[in-house]
Amino acid sequence: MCDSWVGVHSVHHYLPKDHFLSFEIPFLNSKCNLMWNVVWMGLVWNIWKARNNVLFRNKIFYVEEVYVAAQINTWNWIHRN
Amino acid sequence: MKDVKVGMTGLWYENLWEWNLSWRRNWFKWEKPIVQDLYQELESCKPKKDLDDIWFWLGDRNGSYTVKSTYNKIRNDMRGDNDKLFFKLWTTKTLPYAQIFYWRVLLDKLPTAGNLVKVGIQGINNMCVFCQNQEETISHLLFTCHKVSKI
Repeated sequence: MCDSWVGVHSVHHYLPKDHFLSFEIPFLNSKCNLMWNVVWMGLVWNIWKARNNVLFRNKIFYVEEVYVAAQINTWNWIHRN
Repeated sequence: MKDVKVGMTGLWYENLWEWNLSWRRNWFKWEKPIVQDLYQELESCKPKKDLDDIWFWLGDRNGSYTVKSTYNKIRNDMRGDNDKLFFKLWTTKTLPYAQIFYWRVLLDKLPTAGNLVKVGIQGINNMCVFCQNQEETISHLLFTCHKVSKI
């Protein structure tokens, strides 16, 4: 889904390290890619939060919900700077 | 063995040193491989007869300990593939507590069910909370789980 934000399609790694390192958009400059890192962080953060909600608060997992929450989170973090 | 010096843990046969360790109790089954390892390691260390024991610091050529040599050693051990990774992590601007969280993600130190089982916690379900299908490891949970990978 989030590849479609900027219209790219890429194959993703499955190890966090490689995934994070390869989470880059080639045609953007470094400043934009710094923000794109924040997107990665927003997603990971919210997936982990969703996992905890399922586990400890018996909530149901909706991909869309996590997706939107990650977007909001990311915007908040970017605006802070 | 308690309060024993190295010199008392074996015997010289001519110029050959043979280890002779005595144990205070029998080993548990899980300890046996560890003991094997120990013996193997001891095999590679050859004491010299007629020499006094000395301390020797391997991080420095002349064997004496310095803080500087330790610092350099640790720096060199850490240098390498992960430099770029952590540079990317710490230069990305988010909140500090979030950065610590990602640091743990990257090092696989989050308490995922798979990790909890690995450190010996019992009685928990180590399956992924989203799909109940595969072990909950960091890479499964965040990226490869089919419910999450849509994102």
